[in-house]
Amino acid sequence: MPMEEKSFHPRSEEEVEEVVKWVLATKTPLEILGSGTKRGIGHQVEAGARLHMERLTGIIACEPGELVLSAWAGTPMEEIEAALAAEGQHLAFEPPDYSQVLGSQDCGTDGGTHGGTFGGAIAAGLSGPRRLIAGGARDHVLGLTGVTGRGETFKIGGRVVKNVTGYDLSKLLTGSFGTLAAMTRVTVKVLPRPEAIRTLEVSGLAREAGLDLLRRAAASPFSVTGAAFVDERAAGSSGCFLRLEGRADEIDVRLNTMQAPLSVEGAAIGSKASGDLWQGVRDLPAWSAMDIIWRINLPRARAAEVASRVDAEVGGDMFFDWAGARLWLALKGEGTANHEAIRKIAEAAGGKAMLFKAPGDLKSETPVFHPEPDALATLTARVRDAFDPQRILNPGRMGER
Amino acid sequence: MKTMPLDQTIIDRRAAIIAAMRAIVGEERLITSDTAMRPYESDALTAYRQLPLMVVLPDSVEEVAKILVYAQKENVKVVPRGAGTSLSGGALPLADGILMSMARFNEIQKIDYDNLCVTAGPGVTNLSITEAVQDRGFYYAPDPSSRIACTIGGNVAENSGGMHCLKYGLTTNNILGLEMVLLTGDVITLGSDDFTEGGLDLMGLVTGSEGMLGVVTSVTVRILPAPPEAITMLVGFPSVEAAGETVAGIMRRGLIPGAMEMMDRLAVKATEAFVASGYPLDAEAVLIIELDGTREEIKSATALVKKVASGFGASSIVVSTSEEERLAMWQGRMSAFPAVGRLAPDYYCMDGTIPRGKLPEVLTAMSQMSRDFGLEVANVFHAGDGNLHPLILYDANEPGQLERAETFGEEILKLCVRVGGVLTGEHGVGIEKRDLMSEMFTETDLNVQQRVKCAFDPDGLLNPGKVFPTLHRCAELGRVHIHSADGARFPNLPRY
Ligand SMILES: Cc1cc2nc3c(=O)[nH]c(=O)nc-3n(C[C@H](O)[C@H](O)[C@H](O)COP(=O)(O)OP(=O)(O)OC[C@H]3O[C@@H](n4cnc5c(N)ncnc54)[C@H](O)[C@@H]3O)c2cc1C
Repeated sequence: MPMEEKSFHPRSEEEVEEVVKWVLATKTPLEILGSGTKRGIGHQVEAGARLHMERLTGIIACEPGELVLSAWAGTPMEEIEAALAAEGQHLAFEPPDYSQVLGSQDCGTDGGTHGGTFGGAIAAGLSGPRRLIAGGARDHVLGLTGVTGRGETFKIGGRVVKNVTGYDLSKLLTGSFGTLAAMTRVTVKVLPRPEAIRTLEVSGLAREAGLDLLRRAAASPFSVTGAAFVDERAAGSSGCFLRLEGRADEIDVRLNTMQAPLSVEGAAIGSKASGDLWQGVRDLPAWSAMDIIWRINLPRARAAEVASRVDAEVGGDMFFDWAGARLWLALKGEGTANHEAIRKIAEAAGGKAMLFKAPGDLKSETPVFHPEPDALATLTARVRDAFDPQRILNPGRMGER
Repeated sequence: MKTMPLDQTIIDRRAAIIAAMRAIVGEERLITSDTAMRPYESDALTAYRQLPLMVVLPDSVEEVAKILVYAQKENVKVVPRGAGTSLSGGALPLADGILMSMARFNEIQKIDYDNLCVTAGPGVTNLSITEAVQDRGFYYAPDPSSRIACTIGGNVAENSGGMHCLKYGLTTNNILGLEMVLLTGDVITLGSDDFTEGGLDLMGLVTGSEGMLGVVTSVTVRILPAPPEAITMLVGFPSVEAAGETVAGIMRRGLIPGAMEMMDRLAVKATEAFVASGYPLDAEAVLIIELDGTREEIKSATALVKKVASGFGASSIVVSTSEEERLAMWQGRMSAFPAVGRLAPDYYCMDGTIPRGKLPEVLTAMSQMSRDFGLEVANVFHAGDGNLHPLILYDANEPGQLERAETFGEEILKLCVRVGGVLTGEHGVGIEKRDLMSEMFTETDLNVQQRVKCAFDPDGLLNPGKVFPTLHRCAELGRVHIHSADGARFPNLPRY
């Protein structure tokens, strides 16, 4: 890099704005970092300066009666989760902690927190198994403040759940990987943490039958909050996992009555073990040794067909979440040049494939995010112009033009 | 309200524009006479009326694309319209703009039980989606009170809510995919038939954008399995505070009911006189709470609600014992608007949202304002999510009353913002709240939003004059103001 790399550690919103104004004036591409736990997702950013958010920290308002929480972007997720847990609440979209599966990333932060920062979780827009019923990160962000790539500090949304005042830019910013604005403060909706969890484990089902069970369970009126299937090849033996959450005085009855209409008999797993199990589904720690991981989103009923094509044309281990609507595919060293095949298979089923984890050289030659059709790509570029016309914030992270 | 500047050159070219539209949609789906256009002159915010330049009713994506390409090329404004039930003037026509009715897009294109989704034309009514799938035990969750009439396209534009949004989310949380025509004539698909991730969330942006970014030609929604059972509870309270504390208390103890509505004394009185649903007339506030799920879930939840409500001094608790009783209890809440409407010749429905804890403060301030303005106000309230619907009673035939009602309404909304809430919870900004936007947003905030509008519509042709209090030229907004490198202060920050 021609320039000496600079690191900024602002302690206020004003200082963040100052940094963005400076990078604009000096035309220095800026990488925005929380604690770097998700740095492996997306393309590598070529930047001349780094904006570290971890000093912009602290919970601004935790209002259990209102079911909302506001915090500075650099607040460690551990702190947020602990504050909510103390109130019997949680973030219902189950923000994943991918630090183990992605491996550590050197990003020069002091210490660095394991679960990442609040701002990072929202910027990456990642959601866990409960999206099936409770929505994803996008559905829980109520408002935020930030600094655009034009160096303006702005606010959108509010601090109440029901709000249609102005455009819903919170959704646009969630999952934009810091390419539109540096988020400084975020307000999210929080929900009561369930009192009891049960998992129904049905083992030994062939893939097609397992995926069929996931879909039937998600379509049943028993409020299934997690529906995952792991292939025999990936885990030694196949397993179908259905999660129920609720109150201690009703959940076991629900677990029992659910089985007859679904025509299955399974083993019940209690709250504690269920917690660990679904954390595994959420974070994929079992795949930390995998070199290449794809995340394929597809209409759930096409999962079996997509999986067979993957078997035939690509190979690899598979794991299904969201009743089949999210397929994780892991490849170990094998088949590095098959991104076109994977994307074709996903597209044919009305889905999209993201290269979630890969060595740097593979990522530099393969688009990480699923390529968009021309008209949509043009529109997306125009939306980016609205926020960051110079492409100065996290340039290239999403492979954007 | 400031009106949009009229472009006389468009009026002068009306005959040519009519001819061009005729060439696209034919004679039958083009309306140009004043009498025939009359039904389109307003939406449900009837205080504002304006005949459009003409009404066109395209019935294919190709026709929509041709109309928009023409509009872009000839610099003609276009206002999309669903059923015209907007309460914020979102579908109010422009004298120099084409009104594009999406009524012909009224077919359900696909019911997909395997993927739990339905794809429908934007002109399909909200309720008919549920009707199409309820035989198989499914439904579409967002249920605005206008659901018999309002369209799914209008719901997407307004991000509409309903009684059951507390537990099941608003329109935006229940949409999986959209097809939309841009002013360039390009047709884009956002989302899919299931949960989507990756790329910028333009679907989330378009939902709630009040018809200003593109014309939606197809909507894919998520359908949910209907809960096996549901019961309703009617709980009376001696004070609004106690009702408010109960709402917060229930959620603090981990229960999100299917619905949780509140009505104040005046609203209850009006409703009971209208439909007699058994609401307690002696209560200062009544909560209507729906609990759904399996029998055991309901049993557990009912016990919890009873405990919390009694703890806060509920004066009466009634639980429905049959489906008829449950529906009868809802009948009251469902009829609240027309019932209150009988108390005075006219009423004005407001839609602010506040943090739930501010309810007593806001209601007290509102009764003071009611005395100051000399107009009565009844309150119907989506209590679970803090969304207020104060209904201001007035008589438009009494000189000055409409203006007074509007000022009263404005004061209520400003109060909502002051206590940490927002101008609109579900009805949209439209023209109604446009000039209040600066109560909530700075000029910079609004510029950021308007630049997004410019990304879709650089010439300001799609439903202009709504949402934003000041119109800026896109070229002017797009300019980047950068200080020269040596002029810029080097950030005076800790760095390593
Ligand atoms: C009695 C009554 C009760 C109501 N109750 C509720 C309620 O409980 N909750 C709630 O949220 N709302 C409620 N509303 C408000 C209203 O019904 C909703 O805002 C509804 O979504 C509007 O739908 P519509 O089809 O009538 O749209 P219209 O009023 O025709 O248009 C609304 C907006 O959508 C745009 N639009 C319409 N179709 C398209 C399209 N295809 N592409 C792009 N833009 C489009 C229009 O330009 C306009 O900006 C109520 C209204 C009434 C009259």
